[in-house]
Amino acid sequence: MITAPDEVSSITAPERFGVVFDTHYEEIRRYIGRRLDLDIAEDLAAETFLIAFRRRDRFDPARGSVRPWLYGIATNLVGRHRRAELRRYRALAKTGPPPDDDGHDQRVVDRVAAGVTVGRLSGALARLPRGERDAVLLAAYGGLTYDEIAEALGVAYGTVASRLSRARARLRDWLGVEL
Amino acid sequence: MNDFKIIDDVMPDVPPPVVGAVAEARARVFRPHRPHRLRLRFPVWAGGVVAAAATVAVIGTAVAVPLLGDGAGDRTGDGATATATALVDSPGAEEVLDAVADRLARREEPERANWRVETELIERWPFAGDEFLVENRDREVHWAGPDGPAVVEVSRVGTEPLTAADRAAWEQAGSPRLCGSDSDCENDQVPYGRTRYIPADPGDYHLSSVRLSPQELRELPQDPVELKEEILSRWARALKDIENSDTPPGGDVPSDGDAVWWVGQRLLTEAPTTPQTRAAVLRMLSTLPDVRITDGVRDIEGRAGLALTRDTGGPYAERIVVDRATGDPLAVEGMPTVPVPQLKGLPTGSAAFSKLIRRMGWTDEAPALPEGCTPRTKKDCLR
Repeated sequence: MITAPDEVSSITAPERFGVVFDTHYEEIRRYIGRRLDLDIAEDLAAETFLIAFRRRDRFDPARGSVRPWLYGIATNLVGRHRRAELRRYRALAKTGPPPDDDGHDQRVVDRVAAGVTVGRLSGALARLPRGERDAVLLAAYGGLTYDEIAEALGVAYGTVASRLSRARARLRDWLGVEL
Repeated sequence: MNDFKIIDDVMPDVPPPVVGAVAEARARVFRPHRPHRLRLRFPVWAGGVVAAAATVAVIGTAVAVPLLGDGAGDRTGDGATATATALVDSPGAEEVLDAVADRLARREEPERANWRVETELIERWPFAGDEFLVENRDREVHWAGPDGPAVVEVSRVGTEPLTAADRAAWEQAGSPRLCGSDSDCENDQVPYGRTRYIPADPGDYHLSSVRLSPQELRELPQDPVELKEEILSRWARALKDIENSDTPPGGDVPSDGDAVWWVGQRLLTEAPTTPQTRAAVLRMLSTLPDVRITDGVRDIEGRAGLALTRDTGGPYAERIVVDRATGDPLAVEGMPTVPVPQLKGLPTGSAAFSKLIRRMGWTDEAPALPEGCTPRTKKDCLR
């Protein structure tokens, strides 16, 4: 993905960094909030932008856009709370989704009918190795491409491909459906 | 990419932010909004390098998050001149500053092939939900050539529990691996033992909002009053450009003091300025009305120096520490001025964030990029 010049100048000129926040805050909050409890997620979403600002000299527009860079920082912050993330999955595996998760039931009725419930999926995500889980959730929640996941995680394209391939096989075995 | 969409479909979603929550988050990242002297189409402000370490008060049980802005709050344009009286925290500090600026102004510093600044970025943060504090160190080497900025090299130094008490807490937690912002040493932009090269297209230096060509940088005034006027003049032009751009509106206009402090800081610690200009920067910064001069301070590594400190209005002050003999920059640091909840356990008087300047100057050496790594390629510039 080519980074738009305006986006580059938003990173390099600190006065314009607010544009980066405005453009990406909500999706970064949502990404983290689907992996960790929301109170932690909101703190980490803000911290993602602080780290991005501090390290803005390291943003390399030749390697990709701002978006995967931010997802990479957010993913590493989630990594600091890995135990909390696993606890959350285990809790969801036992209890299912919270009762106020309205949109969810209607949206996924077919999936649930196929046996892919929040509980089973949470249990499976908890069992994935972290590197594979990160790659899977960047694809699932962020909609990142293989290239962007590679950029976000600081790994090679081939590594992303193999992580996703292994994860897909594991999830198929555990859930009994093709993803 | 539709891979794994089933996960997106099935897993619980996040409720949208409640009314005002995004604005609150924005205020936590940037400095809070305040009454404006001028409120136009200026984007919300994000300040200088160490301003990033400033924090804002805790809201509820949330962890306090550093501010990007300087929290300059009610400061207004200062209109100070280099002849104003400096605020002095320690006896004789102003004389020490005068002497060191004089020495710097007399220094001969012949230009060579490249300008190199070796820095170490030190950040202290809570690990695993505030169980203990760690200190992370990264190394950055900034190169500039005849045509402007050339490349930044970034590598990891290491992460350790900060104090003995933090080490004990870390051991009690099972001694999890500490890898900077990455807790299990994977998924990192800069993996341990490797260096990431970030080449730049030749061009201007970006010093906060002020852009200067290599030639303009060399020709900056050597008089502190003229230098300040030059910075403010260029700042005003940049501000006008932003007002006329498509940048989303909202935010504050920085004060003259903000502009001078941020640009001056980068002239002193990053850009290939002449020693005469750096001497002028020292004098210019020292006479800002909210800057204190203190002799005999020690940076995060214990190196003694002369400090120029500016309160941010938040729980951190920013300070620039310079060698009291040579005037060379030693560090730019964020110092807590009140207890910061997520940094409880940080020893009193310790910096929360520091950029150490290990070495700065002209060299005949040149950066060596990995083969194929250029500003135009997307090839992975790791080695």
